[in-house]
Amino acid sequence: MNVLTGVPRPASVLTAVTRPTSGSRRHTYVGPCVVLVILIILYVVRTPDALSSISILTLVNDSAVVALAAMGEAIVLVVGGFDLSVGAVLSLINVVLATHFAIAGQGTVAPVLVGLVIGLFAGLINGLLVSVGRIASVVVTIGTSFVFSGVALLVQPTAGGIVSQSFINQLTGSIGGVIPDAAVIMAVIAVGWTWVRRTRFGAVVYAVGNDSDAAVTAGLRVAAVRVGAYGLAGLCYGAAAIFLTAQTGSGDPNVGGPLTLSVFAAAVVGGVRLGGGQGYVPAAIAGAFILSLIGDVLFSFGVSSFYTNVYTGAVLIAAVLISSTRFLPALRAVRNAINRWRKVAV
Amino acid sequence: MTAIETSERRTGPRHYFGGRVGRQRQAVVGVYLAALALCVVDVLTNPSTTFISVIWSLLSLSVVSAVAAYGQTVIVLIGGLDLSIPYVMTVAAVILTETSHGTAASDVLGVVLALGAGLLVGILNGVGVTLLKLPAVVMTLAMNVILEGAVLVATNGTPTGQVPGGLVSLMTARGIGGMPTSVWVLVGIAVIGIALLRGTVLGRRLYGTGSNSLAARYSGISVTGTTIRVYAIGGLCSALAGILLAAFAGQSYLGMGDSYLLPSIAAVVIGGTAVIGGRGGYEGTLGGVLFLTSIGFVLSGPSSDAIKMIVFGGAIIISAILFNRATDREPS
Repeated sequence: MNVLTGVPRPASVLTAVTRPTSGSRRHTYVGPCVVLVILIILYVVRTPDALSSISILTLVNDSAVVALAAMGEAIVLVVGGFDLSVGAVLSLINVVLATHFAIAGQGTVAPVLVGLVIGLFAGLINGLLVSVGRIASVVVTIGTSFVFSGVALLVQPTAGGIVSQSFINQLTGSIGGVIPDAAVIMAVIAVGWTWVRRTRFGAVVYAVGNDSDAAVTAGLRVAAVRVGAYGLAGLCYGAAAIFLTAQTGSGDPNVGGPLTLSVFAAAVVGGVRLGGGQGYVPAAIAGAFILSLIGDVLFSFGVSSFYTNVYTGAVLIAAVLISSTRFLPALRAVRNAINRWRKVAV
Repeated sequence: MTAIETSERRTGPRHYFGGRVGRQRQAVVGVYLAALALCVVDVLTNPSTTFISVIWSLLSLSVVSAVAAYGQTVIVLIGGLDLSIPYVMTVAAVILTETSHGTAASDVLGVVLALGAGLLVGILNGVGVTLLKLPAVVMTLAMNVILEGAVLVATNGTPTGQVPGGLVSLMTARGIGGMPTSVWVLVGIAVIGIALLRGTVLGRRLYGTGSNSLAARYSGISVTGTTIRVYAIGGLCSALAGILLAAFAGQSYLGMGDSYLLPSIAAVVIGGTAVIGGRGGYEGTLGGVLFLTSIGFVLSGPSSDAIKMIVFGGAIIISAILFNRATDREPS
């Protein structure tokens, strides 16, 4: 059963063992990439200086937090779960770094390691509760998001704190003034996932997402793989939170709350299917850039930024409709109806 | 965890609506007892309060959450999830205050329009979930975001107007024996809500659809119709919660419903309703609401918010394990 749709899936060993990499075969990332290219063209045409290194750096840095976290959310979605704790994990790591590790005199290595470790730890807690505790992922992540937010509030009750300038410069700058550091971090994770997906572990992640009953029946180590997937997602949140801390330059126990929606939307717009088993995780980067570019492009056409939320919601619905398998039949039905109407009209 | 073990654990004595009834009832009673225990602790630590006054404030502070959580309960029971509660509440409150001008006619019109808006949003959610076959999470999340944008554009960020005086006194006045009049609203929603779930055809169809939509369809239930109706009820409840919150606060403002979403899901889970649908009911959710409200009573001090959230989270996870360990598996 799928908590998101309530649709039972046929349990079949064959599904699990014969289609372990259906995510790569379905090419779910093509659509988002086409949309992204169109948006980039519109953005470059409409915005002066769009290709200057400073505007590129700003655009990449503004989208990086959501893009990095969305890859984590995408991994959870692929394994058949759903993670509402992203925002709380980001807040927790942000305040821990801003109060203890990313301050002057601590260097850059320590905060990065601590951020990744907390992220990994948070992900493993979610994964253990889901697989060993056998609770639905929505419930687990709502529960842990309360806990993580509470701990974040204990660490730092109000926004504030100053992150060391060298930490900020090392993460938000660009290599040789051309390639943003954030782009490098995203590329590393994207390449890393592409490798993981080719391993035995990666294949089982997709198999579990496709049909966990079948994966159990096939003798796959479902529980361990699920914990591992949530742990990898936690590492992505860690990377996102490290970058968030550098980007905002301070700590805020509520910083992550509003990001949960954007992160989830970016993963879904990136073509990762809800319910699991399908989707190319790095496409979430495309999803994040689509969401931020749509705002810029519409703004350049004179649409008030007040409408940001309205089109974010519309894009989310449209993305899911287009990526769902029911979209093409629906489109065909509409086309047939129009054809019939034309014949009548003529 | 093997498949065979799983199937053995899933076949126990079952209620007609599913769920292992004895343990389920015990756990629901346990949630109420936990809420009561927290009230007792509060009375013992604050000698200036009396037990009855603590109970009255617990009930009156739970009204808005209880109404919102009813909508969440029915939608979770049918196998969905409603993430649009915050902005349906805000939209309803804004419509109410913008329409009402102090005359009886405008007050009534405001309430009717606000409830109508909630109903409409609920129906749209239901249509999205059934006819467009969107996952409930996506449909309601997108709806919430769209409403947020719409209310921002419509009010320019600062809603104006006033809340009808009758509603304000309903939510804030005290009646016989110091009992807040808002407790009647709580009693009303509990009686009507439980009767709807347990004693009507729609309730039966809801449980049927929630436990197994395919079986429900083969039994001649219109799954689409039932689902749309249930989402409509959910929208109506969110709108009512928004109206009550506006009456409680004496005004409407953007984001006023934000803090009601996660607690509504938490109350449903703590009350023992399975997130895959078909099992549970409002009896448990109401206990969950009272429990979550009463946690705030015993916590005080500068970090009480932080500790409250940690306890909330722990309660959600522990009750999920207690209620659903064998039945509510991770969806595949």
